[in-house]
Amino acid sequence: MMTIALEMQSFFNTLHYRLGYLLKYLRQGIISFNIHGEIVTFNQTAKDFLTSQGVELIPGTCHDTCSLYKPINRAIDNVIKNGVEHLGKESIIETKISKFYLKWDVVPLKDKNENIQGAILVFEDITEINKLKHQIQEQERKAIAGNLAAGFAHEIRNPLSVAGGAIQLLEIIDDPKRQNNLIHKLRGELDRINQILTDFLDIAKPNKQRELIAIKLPKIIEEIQFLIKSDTNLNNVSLIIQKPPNNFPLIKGDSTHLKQVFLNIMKNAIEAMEDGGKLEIAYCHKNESVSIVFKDNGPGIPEKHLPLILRSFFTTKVEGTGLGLSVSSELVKNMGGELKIESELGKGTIVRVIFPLFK
Amino acid sequence: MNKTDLVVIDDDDGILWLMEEILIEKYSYKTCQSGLTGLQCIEEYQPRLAIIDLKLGGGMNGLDVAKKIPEKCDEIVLFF
Repeated sequence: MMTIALEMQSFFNTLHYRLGYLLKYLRQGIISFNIHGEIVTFNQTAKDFLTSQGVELIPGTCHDTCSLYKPINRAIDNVIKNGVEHLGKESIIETKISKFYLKWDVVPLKDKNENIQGAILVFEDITEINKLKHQIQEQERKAIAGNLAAGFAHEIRNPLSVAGGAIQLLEIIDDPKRQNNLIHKLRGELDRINQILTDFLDIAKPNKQRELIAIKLPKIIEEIQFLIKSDTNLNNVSLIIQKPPNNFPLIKGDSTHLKQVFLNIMKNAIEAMEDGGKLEIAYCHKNESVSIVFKDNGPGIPEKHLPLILRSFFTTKVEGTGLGLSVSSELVKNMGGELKIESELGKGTIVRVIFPLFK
Repeated sequence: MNKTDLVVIDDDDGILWLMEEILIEKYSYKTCQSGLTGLQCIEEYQPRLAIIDLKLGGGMNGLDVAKKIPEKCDEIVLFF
């Protein structure tokens, strides 16, 4: 009898030791709380991380002494009281020492009869991952800007030729009425160059993460259509932009990110239609959401590729990075929207970008 | 038949305007903004010279237009 008890004791000790070891080297910080919301146990990662933020973890103290962020405390209370899980939350937390991104879950701790005994907080510092994500988004924006710059040289050369021609004519024409007309035109062409460059700089300049503001989608399209013109001409694609319905609602967004997303979708469509085709842009307003629809009559996307198309690094282009659409989808998500793709081989592809209304 | 000296095809309003300003005093001309209307115009007016932009919108570029009109006008200029 004694031997069995000793063996069991040794077994539990080993198990306890191994579990402790496992938790110690887990990348996530884990803290458990009892039914009163007091700290019971935590792993090394949790301790190290909170210590680095100037917070000391003391078993037996209430959870609000260890948390840096009010919503986490509320979640712990809510879990203990109602048993509701809080999963995959992401928060930006600013302390006196630093600013960081935390991904966290709070789940109930239950006994074998499903009675709530407390709560478990699992968290992970995702600051570095978020920085990388932002860097990739910026890289993609720069890639689009570079790509556009090569194409729109033609769009600038036309008004430049006209302005140059107008000046030459001014030198030889004596009729004051025609001279006036030429000067007027010259000014118009210079405005045109200025407008194209302004639209371009809007997408080319570095994007600082800003607040989302009220945006008119049709205006965004208007501001990028000249930038894409040389691409449509090159592939013989006609771009048809539907007039937006009257009082088309505003959305909440970031204009640079929206331009980046729309240019990416349009460029994909144009590149897919190597032998010419039609790219239609339409607006749609349904109940609580608005969408902008890009419809092409290109070759379409094979069915087996559709589930992979929004994944990072998935590409079928020889020189593609496979980041364009995944970054676009991410940017749309950040604005509370969704990017959806339907396609049929031989018929074409429809990309819908859906946004909630601005409130 | 209504003949004309020149047909200018360009999808850019500014360029067309400039060509008109240059040509207006000495030549008769027609301007068109797409390859398709340009071809119809050349057919109808049989110009001595056609000046065509290479990059044209609307499904037909300048080269496509030029290939279809060798016998209909004396000379073709494509500009880039």
